[in-house]
Amino acid sequence: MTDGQTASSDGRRPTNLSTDEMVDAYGDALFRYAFARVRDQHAAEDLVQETFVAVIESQPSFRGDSSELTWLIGILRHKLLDHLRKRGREQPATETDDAVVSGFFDDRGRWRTRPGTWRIETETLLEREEFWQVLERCITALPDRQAQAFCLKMLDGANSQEVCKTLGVKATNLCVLLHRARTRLRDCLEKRWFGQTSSGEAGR
Amino acid sequence: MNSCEKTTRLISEGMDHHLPWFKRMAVRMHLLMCRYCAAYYRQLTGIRALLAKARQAGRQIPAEAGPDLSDAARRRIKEALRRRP
Repeated sequence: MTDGQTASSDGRRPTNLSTDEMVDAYGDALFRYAFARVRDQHAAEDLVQETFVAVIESQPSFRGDSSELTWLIGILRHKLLDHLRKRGREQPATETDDAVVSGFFDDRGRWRTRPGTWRIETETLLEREEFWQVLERCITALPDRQAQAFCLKMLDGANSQEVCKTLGVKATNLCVLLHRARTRLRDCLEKRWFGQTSSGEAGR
Repeated sequence: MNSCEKTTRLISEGMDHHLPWFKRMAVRMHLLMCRYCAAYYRQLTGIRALLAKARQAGRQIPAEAGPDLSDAARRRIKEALRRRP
């Protein structure tokens, strides 16, 4: 038995995870969540470690069920936002041109790669795990700053002011980042999901 | 009339904060004339609604895409947790 199981010695939770098992059960999910938002391997690893330390100090017994991941992510999220705010203050960002997004348009600003006619069928897509895998890959493929802005704003539901403060960017820069992220993501989803069948059947 | 590129910027901006009436009008006029930007608009608002639903449903993103915790980091973290009093 390892140290992490000392809390189960009272016998209330015979299925408690040891600290090693806890790292194995949740480490990857926490790391991916952090990495998608900080885009820095070492920082993401440190955040995962800090999260586990905080958890052990507050509630040493763990069973390995799904609500625990949600709870862990809540803790990770606080640490992650602190980290981003600190970094935003230390390294103010500058945005350069995004050749991919400007490449979607010609020199007069008309579409070069015209959007298809697909629609999002919310209820159906919510249940399609393959779709979410594609969406995650499209988000992963975004440039770092765009991905950070997109995750905080569109996945986590933070408001623009919070995101600006967290990332240390001005409101106008955030608009630029989000426009680029959304435009790239739209294009990626079209290529990898909605454009796979002629009628957009994949999305239905 | 605004270009498609400018219109997509305004569409995206309009999702983040309220646009003044003349910009909203310019977008609306453009969308009446341009089915590509109209598709872009529908798709972006569709994606936003979908992600909001997923968040309400408690979906963690990313769940699968992206790297695993490296073996070295995993060992280091386990070691650090064992050393705790």
